Amino acid sequence: MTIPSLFGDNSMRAVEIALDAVAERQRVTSHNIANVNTPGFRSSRVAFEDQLSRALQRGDLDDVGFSKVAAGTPINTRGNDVALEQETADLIRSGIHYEALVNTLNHRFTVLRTAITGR
Amino acid sequence: MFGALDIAVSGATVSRIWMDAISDNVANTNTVRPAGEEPFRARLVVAEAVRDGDGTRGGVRVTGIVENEGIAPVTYDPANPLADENGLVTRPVVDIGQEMTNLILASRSYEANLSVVDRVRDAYLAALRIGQR
Repeated sequence: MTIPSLFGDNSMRAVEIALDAVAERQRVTSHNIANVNTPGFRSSRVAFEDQLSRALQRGDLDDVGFSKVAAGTPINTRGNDVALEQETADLIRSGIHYEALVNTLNHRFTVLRTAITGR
Repeated sequence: MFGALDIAVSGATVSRIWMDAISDNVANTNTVRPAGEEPFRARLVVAEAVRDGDGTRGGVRVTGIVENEGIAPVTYDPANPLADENGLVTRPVVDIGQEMTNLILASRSYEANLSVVDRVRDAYLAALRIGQR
């Protein structure tokens, strides 16, 4: 991927990693909500912010990904641990996060296009 | 960044836990036991405001569930299969009027917290529009 080298830093690569992770987060949240009535189901979360933050401090983004972890919420009366209010809030949060990341990419590409075309 | 969203969700969660306890109490409003046994006791949810280390507010959480410690009414009901040799049964410690009032409070606060979530989401979406043409 050559775009990062055009900007001289790792920020575009960080945005790409975050986009993949937030998209996966939306998928995992939808899966949790779909199983709100499944007895014995355990909900998961996607974790990537800590890994990404440490990798940015090191300056090396080659092996950064995201991981799926157990949510660990209390078991409810339906026999699973899906907290519907929290999952809905996660959907809202990750939707806004994803759109903000896409806006960042678009903004960077606009700057690049202006530099290339002079307009 | 999403502080208001988390706070509203904490309010909705506590309201939902309250509604769970209320429906359990209402479902057991006629659960008698033999006289002399421990009665069914209504469950009450104890919640407290959440404070961060520096004193900023952060929503609400459930700290425990306690039972109504009131006196169990003993009534004369000889036809009841659970009645003892004197025809007495222990009725549950549930105040149905209080429970129905609490149900209105809990469901309204659940709805109020969810409408806060809606408003806060619209506000964050508006922030994304800054600088766009």
